[in-house]
Amino acid sequence: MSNSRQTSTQEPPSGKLFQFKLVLLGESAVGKSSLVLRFVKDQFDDYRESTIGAAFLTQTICLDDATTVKFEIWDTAGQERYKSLAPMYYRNANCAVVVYDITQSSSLDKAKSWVKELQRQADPNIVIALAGNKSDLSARRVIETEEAQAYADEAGLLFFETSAKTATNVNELFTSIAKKMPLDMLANPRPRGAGLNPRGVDLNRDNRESGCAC
Amino acid sequence: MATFATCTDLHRHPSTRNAGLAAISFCANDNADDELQGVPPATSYIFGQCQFLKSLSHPNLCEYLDAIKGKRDRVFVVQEHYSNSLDLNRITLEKEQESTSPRGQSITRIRKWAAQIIDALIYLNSHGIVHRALTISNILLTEDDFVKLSNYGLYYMTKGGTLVQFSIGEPHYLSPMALAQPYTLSLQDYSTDLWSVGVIMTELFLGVSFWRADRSDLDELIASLFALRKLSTTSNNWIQDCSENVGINPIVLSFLKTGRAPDQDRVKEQEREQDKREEQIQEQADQTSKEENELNTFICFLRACLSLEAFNSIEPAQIRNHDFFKALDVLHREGEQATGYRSKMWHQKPYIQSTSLPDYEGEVKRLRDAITQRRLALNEDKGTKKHPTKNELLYKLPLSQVFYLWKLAGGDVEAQFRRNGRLVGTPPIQLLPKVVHVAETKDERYQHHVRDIADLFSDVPCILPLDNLESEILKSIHEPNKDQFSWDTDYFLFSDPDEMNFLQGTMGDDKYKDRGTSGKDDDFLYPDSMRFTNMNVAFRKAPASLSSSTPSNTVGASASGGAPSLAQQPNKARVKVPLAIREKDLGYQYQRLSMFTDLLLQYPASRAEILHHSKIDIPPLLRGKVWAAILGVVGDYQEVYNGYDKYTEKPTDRQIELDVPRCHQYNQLMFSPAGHEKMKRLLKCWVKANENQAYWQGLDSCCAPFLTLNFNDEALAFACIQLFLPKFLKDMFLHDNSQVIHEYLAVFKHLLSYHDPELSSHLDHIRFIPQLYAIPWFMTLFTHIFPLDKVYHLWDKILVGPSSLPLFVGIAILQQFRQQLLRSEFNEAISIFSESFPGMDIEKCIETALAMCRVTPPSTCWLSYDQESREIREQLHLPITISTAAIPGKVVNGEVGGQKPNGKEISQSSAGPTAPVDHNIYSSSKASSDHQELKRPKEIEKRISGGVGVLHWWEEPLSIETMDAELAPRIHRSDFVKLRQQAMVIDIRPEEEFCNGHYPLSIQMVPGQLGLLVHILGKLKKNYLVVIANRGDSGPEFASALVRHGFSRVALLMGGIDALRITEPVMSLTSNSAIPGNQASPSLSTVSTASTAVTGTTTTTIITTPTICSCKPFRQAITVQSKIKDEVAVQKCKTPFTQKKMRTTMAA
Ligand SMILES: Nc1nc2c(ncn2[C@@H]2O[C@H](COP(=O)(O)OP(=O)(O)OP(=O)(O)O)[C@@H](O)[C@H]2O)c(=O)[nH]1
Ligand SMILES: [Mg+2]
Repeated sequence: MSNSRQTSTQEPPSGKLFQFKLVLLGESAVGKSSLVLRFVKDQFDDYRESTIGAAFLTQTICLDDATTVKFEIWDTAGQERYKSLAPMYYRNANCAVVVYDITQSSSLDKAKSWVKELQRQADPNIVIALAGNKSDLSARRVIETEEAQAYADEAGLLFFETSAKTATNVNELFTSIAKKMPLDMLANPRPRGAGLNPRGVDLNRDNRESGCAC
Repeated sequence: MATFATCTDLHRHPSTRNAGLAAISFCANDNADDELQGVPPATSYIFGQCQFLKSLSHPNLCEYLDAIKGKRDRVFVVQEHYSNSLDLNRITLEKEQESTSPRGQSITRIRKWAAQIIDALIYLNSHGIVHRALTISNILLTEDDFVKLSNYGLYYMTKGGTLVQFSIGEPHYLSPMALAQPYTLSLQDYSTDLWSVGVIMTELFLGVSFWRADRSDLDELIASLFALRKLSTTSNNWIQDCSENVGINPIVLSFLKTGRAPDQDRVKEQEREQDKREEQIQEQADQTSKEENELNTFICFLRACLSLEAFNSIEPAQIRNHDFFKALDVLHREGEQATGYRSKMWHQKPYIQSTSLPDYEGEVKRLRDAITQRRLALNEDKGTKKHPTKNELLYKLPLSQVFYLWKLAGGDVEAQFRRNGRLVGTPPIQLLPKVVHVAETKDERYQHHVRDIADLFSDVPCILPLDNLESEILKSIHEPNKDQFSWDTDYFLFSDPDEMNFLQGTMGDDKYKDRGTSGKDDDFLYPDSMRFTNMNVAFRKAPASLSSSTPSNTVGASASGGAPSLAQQPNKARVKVPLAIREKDLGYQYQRLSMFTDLLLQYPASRAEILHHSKIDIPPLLRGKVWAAILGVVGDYQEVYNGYDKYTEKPTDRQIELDVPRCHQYNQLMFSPAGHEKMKRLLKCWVKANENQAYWQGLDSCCAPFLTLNFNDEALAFACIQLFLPKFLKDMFLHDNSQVIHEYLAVFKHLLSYHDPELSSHLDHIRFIPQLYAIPWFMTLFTHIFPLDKVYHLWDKILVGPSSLPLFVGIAILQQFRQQLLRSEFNEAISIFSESFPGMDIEKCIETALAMCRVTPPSTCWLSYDQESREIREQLHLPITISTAAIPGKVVNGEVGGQKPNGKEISQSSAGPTAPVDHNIYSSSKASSDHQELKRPKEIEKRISGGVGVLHWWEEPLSIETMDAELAPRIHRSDFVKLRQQAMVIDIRPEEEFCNGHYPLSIQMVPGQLGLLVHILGKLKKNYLVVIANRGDSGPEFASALVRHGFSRVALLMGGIDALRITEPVMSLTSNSAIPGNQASPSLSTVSTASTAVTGTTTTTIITTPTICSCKPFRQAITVQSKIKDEVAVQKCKTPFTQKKMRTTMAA
């Protein structure tokens, strides 16, 4: 549980490395996994398998010479049924990307409910971004930019319309999240990759009972 | 009813005896632009449609065997093939007669051909297919002059030609109505094939071309066709109104109009010849009138075929009743009988076997006669013919298997095309005009000499040579230094002699007992004689050369003799040759294919043998059916599948729609539009059939293997899924599965500790918990993380293994990354699992998993969250009046425990283990007990009849939190007694209690001392460590500490000392034990059982230790049995071991 167990992967030549836990939420097939794949590997796959449970990836971005941010990304399953697992992933997350699909009207409603849940249950300082994905399919658009933008402003979210397919706004999305993280407020970012919250995933260990009847 | 007895892919139709294989190749549209819009590529559509064509089976159709996607948009389609065709026949006729004057065929022969062609067309129509490309050259003929249509699927698979740049069909034979007609399936479409029949038959009879224009003069032909088409719209009878300008050969036209052949004399003469041949000499006058009659009906028939008027349009099914065929039907039927062609062999599966059963023997005899005759003929021919035994080895094999073996022998369709110079350099396809390639001269096409090497499509098939296949198979079989399998050895059970083997005795062999009791009526479908004729010659010899020492227990032998003991303790080293090599080995696969085909035909009677042989490996070609047999699919599964509504919209549809296009799309079947359709139907059907469960993402992945293996038999795929999920993914798809999955993962963690404490405690330490990575593993049984080819091999073993095997596979996967994981912190560790393990060695993985599974006491992987066992438990709490149907018939070890509130036991109660994870799944035919018998297992019945049963407190399921918190598993006393001397038993109760009584040979230890004693414990080198503690004591912590200290196979005894205090006939538990020849367990409990039996008391104090051996820090437990009661007990037990122990005890 101590911070000494931090990862010590690539240490930037100079400057500070911040490490953040980021979670992706949103309805099934809105393109969460595709966004991550684009961000992490700069690839797109039309036939990527659906996510079961969750998947984990990391990506590091340099904000400036002095600041590097490493995202530990939890990509979750979108099907409503897997909802009960979500807290395990967003608990202690520093930031979240809530994704909807501009061609699916239901997906924005779902996104809103995720935002609500995050604001209620997750870390109070969590930075949330709303991503309207599949912007390349503008011909089939059903959710207007203005509508989503208005909602994002109202709820205090970062907002981007993205396309995992064409890579539009994907890096911008993650970079602006990184920038919005309260880096300055972190008194002393650990030189060896530590973040606001060191642990990848926190499981409520405290729930442990001290063994039961044998 | 033999479930697969009528499956066409397991049979070889006698008429296909001399079938060859050939392939055609063509280019599909390059629709890359459309693909961006989400339209699947044309090749993919074609590939999917071809799968359905493969399932068609009719004696007058060449079977489709495979579709292969080549480079770019090229497709290869492999089909049954014969070198003779109507066209060739015509040419040879011309040649034979050495005249250039037109020569036609006799009406008798034409009639026979026409009937067979139309039969085939009717069959195609009934499956929604029109031929559209019927020409004189793709009507092939067998040696027996039997018609086999070829290339009938081209129009169907290319969506009516819209997916290719060439037009389908040869204008020469194409109906005018089919020209430029959009792709639909209307009545008219069915009738267009009749036009072709009409043209072909006219040509055959007259011996001249139907059209005036040359076959390759497309311009004129097409002009003629359009003229005809126009004519037919204005005329009620185009034949009469047709002028010579239209372009029909004048001879043909006058024949059709007048009904007079241009050269009547010739026809007559020929008819006479024919009749002489048939030795039907009649009077001349009769003859003439008969001929005229015949000719008249023939022309009527032709006119009907060639009618173009919509009101007149007629379908193949109708024309088959034409007067023209009346004469034939009698003859035809006789011919059918004589050669053994019987339509019932070609029914769509499945159908009720009993309808054909009475005839079976007759057919067998006929079949056998035909074969003997052929053999005799072959023997006579020896010396004269080039290949006297051509296809002798192969001709019983279904063509799909022949093709498979051909590929194994190094055959490659694309390479074959290249070898024939057919695929050199493809110029830009789009530039070519939209015409059919037609060879320039007739002769050319028969020499298979095609100059246009870059053809979009050529209907000249590329022959796949089979000449050497047989000798190569034989060579491969007799190759020296082949890995040898002993045929009656159960390799699955092979284990180290010094090790426990918990699988031994629990799997496989029980099935034979079943067989005795289960209905014989449906088991032995095949008479014994059939079994032998069915045996392949080479195969029957084979076991002798393959089997090392044991008398060969071949299928036939085992079936006619008594039940063989297949599941013997392996007596030889394990299989040495890697699976990958075995699967590529021609001779080996030939033998496996023959054997499994044979076994499948006799399934379900042969289920035990199928299981047995499947443990070695499963021939990939038959995997779908073999899996179904292993799972126990029986009955009319098609009917069951049909019974579910797959079309009504449901809320889950949306998710299914989203998931199917993402499910295993690298696989061509899954990628094809046909695959998407089938997958959706299958999932919808599952949702409908399992209303207490829900569609979870991941279920699609789970179903994919079954669909790809039974692509043409959705119903079978569905039946498999319905049996597979309850067995291996029980309750995983409940509406709320969180308990289930959590518990499963907790057990997984415990098992990891049990086998790899170092890894387990490291992962626990970095909090790399299974919830984060293993959910997709277990929810989809690895289909989500491995590509299908790996999944097949993995499931081959999982299916024949206990349902706990997947857990061990999970451990084996972790172990393949062991070093990496041990060095990793959380982030690196989890990154390893975000990829789909490209380097995973599945065979090694399986082997490791099995090795662990064998030595793991089953009780350590019990799941409490098992709906069924819970129900049973609840049932058992009730005063027992259980309706027979109330208990599902599949629980193997029922449980009844006796406990009074004060903790003293009722002697007559017996505690069997709860066995939700069922190591014994095959002890009864799961399928039949689930769906048919619903019989209460004898085990439970017996116990229930003994009295009221309640669970012991320690048999109650643990809470998930408790399980999560603990690192080591718990073991039930029934397994504990099996471990015997292999286990080091550590008792951590306080010293006084220990002195008051303990398990013999246990050592006492204070939990706090562990750190000091680790070293010594390590030296004792016992295979198992079992911790005994008091209820509520620190047993779990102590066990976890042992794990962290690196001790493997540490478990906590469920119930601690309480579990050993009860008296119950453990014998009944251990009688099923893994140890062969187990007479009496030296466990305390056995002794006390005996004592109970003797004294007849209901309560027994089991342990008394008046003398304490105080050799600290360990106290070697020395049980001095006290007084008379135990003396008697020991005597009653009379096992050498106990007596010996007694002696040492006394000495001490
Ligand atoms: N046109 C277009 N398609 C996209 C885009 N992003 C994703 N897709 C497609 O949308 C489908 C779903 O994408 P995924 O990334 O699997 O969606 P997901 O949100 O991870 O879905 P779940 O894992 O089920 O929760 C895939 O077929 C993608 O190819 C995009 O930006 N544009
Ligand atoms: Mg996803």
